[in-house]
This record gives sequence, structure tokens and C-alpha cells, in this order.
Amino acid sequence: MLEPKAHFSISVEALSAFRKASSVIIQETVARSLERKDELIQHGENSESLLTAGLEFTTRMLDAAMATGEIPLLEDELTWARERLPHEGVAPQHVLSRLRIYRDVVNEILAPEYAREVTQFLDWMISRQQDLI
Amino acid sequence: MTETTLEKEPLASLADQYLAALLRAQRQAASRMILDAVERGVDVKDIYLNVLQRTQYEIGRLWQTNRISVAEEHYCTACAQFVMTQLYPYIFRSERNGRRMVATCVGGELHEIGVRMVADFFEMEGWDTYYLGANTPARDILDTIAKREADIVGISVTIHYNLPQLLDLIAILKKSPDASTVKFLVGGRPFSLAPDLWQKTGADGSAAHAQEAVSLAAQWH
Repeated sequence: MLEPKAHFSISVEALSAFRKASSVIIQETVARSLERKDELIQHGENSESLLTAGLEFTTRMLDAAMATGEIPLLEDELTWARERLPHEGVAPQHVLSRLRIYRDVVNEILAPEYAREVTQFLDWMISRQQDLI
Repeated sequence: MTETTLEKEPLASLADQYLAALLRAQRQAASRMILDAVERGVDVKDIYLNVLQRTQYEIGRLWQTNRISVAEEHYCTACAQFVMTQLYPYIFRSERNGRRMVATCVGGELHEIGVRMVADFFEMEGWDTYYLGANTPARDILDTIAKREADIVGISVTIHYNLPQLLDLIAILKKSPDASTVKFLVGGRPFSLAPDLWQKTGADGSAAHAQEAVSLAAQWH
């Protein structure tokens, strides 16, 4: 199991670049997630709005963890989501696939040196989510 | 009745009964049992920590596990605030110590009961408290600090994603001459998960609960 006590850091420049690009990152992640129709059957016509809301939430949580360098915040969030989201029709596997898409989008949109700083946090989330499934 | 997991600790039986009444939507009965306990001599601080706070955590867990709805959670929380207001005759009776505290949630933070409890504990210790509640803009917090000549500012964050606002808020406040002698005390769920987090916010300290906050403030003053 991953160590939740790890402390990662991110430069001011990388965090700023992430914040500037976050709307586009969310939009692109939503668009790609919508293609995975088998994961969205239960949401029907609300799929796009629910995905957007969920990814905005994820982005804010990621931002807070990066701004403070505190992985335990992400641990807490993923554990909470594991408990809560299935009641809202979001399976743990869906969270994992969306985190992977999110990471791919970050790598495509941000400059490589900034993307690396952000994806260290995302990689931790992806590994932890795999543990939780 | 929804099964709960309140453990057997001080006032556990009262907490169980109080929660059960809330979940039956019996606000008056829930309130009455708390007031009866206080009238029998149970310390208000013990009620806050061992009944109200513990029950609020359990209510959060019940919602998270889908055993109660959002509406039920809001009802229970509103009841807790109602009970706390009814306890004010017991809270506002201490001799004043001449010190002042501003208590607030950071902008965007809607979970206010915790910092309200902290403010009430300070009030019971003789502090004059200015409780600003949820989602207070930075400008208004600074204005209140200046106007009330605060000695301590208690700032609460419950949802992790409000931490960047806290970082910005403390940075703004510490630049102001009006807050040059103020001590900043932070608290809320993120700080219980990451013990070193408070040091990264620019705050002077953090407390896990209201009694600890009062003890820390006593060391400062």
C-alpha cells in the first residue's frame, strides 16, 4: 500500500500553470470521459454536468494538496470517495479511469517540466485508487 | 432506527439518545434532553465536545454511507445550532478577561459549527468573541480584526479545497498593520490529517478541538 505520509512539492510556476490551464484540463477530461459510454449509462442526460462537477471537485482537491504539499489530503479524499461515490452511481473503476484520462490531459496541455510536477500527485492518486478497488 | 456507531465514552448514552431523537426529527425532545443535562450540572463544555461534536461527526458518517439524506443531515445540523443557542445563558456568564477573539470560517467554507464551538469556549473563558460564521470574505475579516482590536483570530477550514483560500487569507492579514500583533489559530479536518500543515499556512498554531484552542491561547496570553 502507498505511503500516505509522503510529502511532494510543486514549484510556484507549475502550480500557477496548472491553475491557468485547469478549465481546459477539465473540459478535455470530460470530453474524453463522455466517450466511455458504458461508464455513464446510469447518469443519462446528466452525464456531462455530473462529470464536470466531479472533475471540478477533483481539481480543487488536487490544487489544495499541491499548494500545501500534503498527500494525506488526497488519501482522505480518495477514501471518502470510495465510501460515498458508489451511492451516487460512480464506481471506483470509473474514478480510476477518469484519473488516468486527467493525467494524460495534463501531460498534453502543460509544458513538460510543469506536467511532471503535477503528475507526481496524480500518479500517487492513481496508485492509491488502484489499491482501493 | 438507523444504526449508529457512537462508542461508549463520557456522555455516550446522552449522545446516543440525542442523535436518536434527531433522526426521528424530534428537535424539541433532543433539545430538552440537552438542557435537562445542563440543568442537572453537566458542564456545557462536556456537552459540546462529548455530545454535540461527537454527534455531528456521526451524522457526517451517516450521510457519507448513505444512511441519511442531505436534508436529514442539514436538519440535524440546524438542530445542533438551535441547541447551542439555547445554551447561551450558560455561556455568556463568565467574567471578562479583556481579551478579544475573532472566529470565522475562511471564504467559501460553509461548515461553521466547529469554529462556533471554539468561539463559545473562548466566551466561557472570559474572552469577548466576534463570531463571523461561514464564508466570510477576507476584507471583512480584516475590517473586523481592526475594528474589534482582536488578540486572536481563529480560522476554520473543513473541506480541503478551501485551504488555498486560507493560505491567501493569512498572507493578506499578516501584511496588514492592523493585524501586526494578532495570533492566528487554525483548525478543522485537514489539520487533523496532516499535523505539520498549520505551519505551512503562516498560522501561529492549530488545535484539534475547542478546549485545546483555549489552552493554546492561554499560553499566548
